[in-house]
Amino acid sequence: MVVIDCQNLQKKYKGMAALNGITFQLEDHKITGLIGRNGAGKTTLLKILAGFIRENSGEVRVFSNKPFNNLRVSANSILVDDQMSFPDSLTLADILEAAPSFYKRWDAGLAASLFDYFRLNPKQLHFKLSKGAKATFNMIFGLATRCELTMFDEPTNGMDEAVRSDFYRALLKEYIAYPRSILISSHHLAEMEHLLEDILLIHKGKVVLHQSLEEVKEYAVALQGQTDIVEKLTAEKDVLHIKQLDSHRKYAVIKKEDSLGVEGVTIQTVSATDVCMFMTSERKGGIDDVFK
Amino acid sequence: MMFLSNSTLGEVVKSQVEFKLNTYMGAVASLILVQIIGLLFSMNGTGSSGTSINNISIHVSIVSLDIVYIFVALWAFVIGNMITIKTNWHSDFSFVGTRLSSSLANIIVLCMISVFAGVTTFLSNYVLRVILLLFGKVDYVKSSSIFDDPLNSILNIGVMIAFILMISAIGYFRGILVQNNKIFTFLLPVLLITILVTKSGQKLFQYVFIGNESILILIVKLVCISIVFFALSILCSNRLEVRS
Repeated sequence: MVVIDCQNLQKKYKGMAALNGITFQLEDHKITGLIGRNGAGKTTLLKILAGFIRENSGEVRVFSNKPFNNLRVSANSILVDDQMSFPDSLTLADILEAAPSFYKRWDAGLAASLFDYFRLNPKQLHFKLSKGAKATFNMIFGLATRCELTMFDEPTNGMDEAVRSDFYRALLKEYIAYPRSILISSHHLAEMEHLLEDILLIHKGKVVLHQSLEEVKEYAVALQGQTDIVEKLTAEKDVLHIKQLDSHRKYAVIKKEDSLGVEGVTIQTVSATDVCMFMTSERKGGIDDVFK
Repeated sequence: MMFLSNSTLGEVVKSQVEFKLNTYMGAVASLILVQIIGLLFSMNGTGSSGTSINNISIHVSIVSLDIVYIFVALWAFVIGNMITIKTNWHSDFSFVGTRLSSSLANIIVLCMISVFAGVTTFLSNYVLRVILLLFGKVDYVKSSSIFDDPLNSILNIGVMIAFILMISAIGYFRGILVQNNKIFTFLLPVLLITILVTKSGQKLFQYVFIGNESILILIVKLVCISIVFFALSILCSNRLEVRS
């Protein structure tokens, strides 16, 4: 079943296009990584899906409803981000107590045990929490809602290393126990690669890639060898990335295809992180070119 | 297979009202403080006269609660406005809700707060009498009690509630406009002054507040004005973007 359906979605902020024709569909019960550079439009997309902001044009459907001002979408989806706000007068315990009357599938047991595990203070006020503690609390809140569509926008920002790995572990365990559709945005693909099934890569407000993680890992290969041989091999091909290693050796990344075996060139796999990085980079070279 | 929970608008509004009453408990408590300060200012009285007949001097002080009313009105405006500030408006969206459900819940909460404020403000009249007798330099306090004219007293409470509701509705509307566009912070006071200095504006004020045949008509007018402001607020908030 389709949870999210976006057709040519566009959103502008003061004339600047944040989303520039996003089209994709998300099937239910999958963990999808929303990957993109800074300013790619990840946050804007998530806010539209959560019904916080309104699209300028195009179609967006969540559970077959338009998310803006829709009670059904609101009751079955949650967006966890660092702008999540709660009234200044309520303690963390008050907030957790209020949640079940809104979220029908709220898991109070899970919330309480995670709360204890991360040693949060129930009498603390939300706005006084440190950045890391706020991110942790928001994550607990998001997981405990058990919403059919759970979205995280840069959830690990501010968390320390230990909490980050605990978070990914908790997310995975929760997902296995109570499957739901999870969309998680990050620019650190490598650290959450182990939990993702699909990758939705967006760049400059457009979808560049929407494939399973396995396919992304197989998407490209790297050729490394003598400059002239590498150049000959990649001459007519779509080069994703190229780098001069030293005076006579070159490194080039191209889309994967068969029969590339040539003597003097080694063929290497390219990690999903690198594929995403190369596909969203502005130029074929890297930062090295700046310092030439 | 997905299992979607369905919530009706009524359920969500009910949950939101309960949640908001919890949230604004402190604000309601601040009303008591505002009333006490108002009472202290009122104790001096607003007018006095004295006569003496055959070595007996009589000193009459007129003590009114006008200052309490002004303070409570200001408080109502601030509360209406406070409900719309970002942390409060946005926190509705950390839970389940739409702009319509949030607006309805806010309006219901303001109505409840207005009733509470209206009744307590009316009763503060009696507190003032007790204070005057205990701590003031008076020997006798003359004023009508609720039992002398129950119907009139109830109407007085009604006016109080309706007036506070109207002020809070104006405060709420102002807050929603400012959330839409910061320019209203400056625009609204200018607009208000313009209305006050023009002839037709003054006529409007006269029509509403002065020359009412009965208190009941005044109450109806105040409630109607509140409804208009609340309706405008719902319209203006229905497109408000959150966390943007």
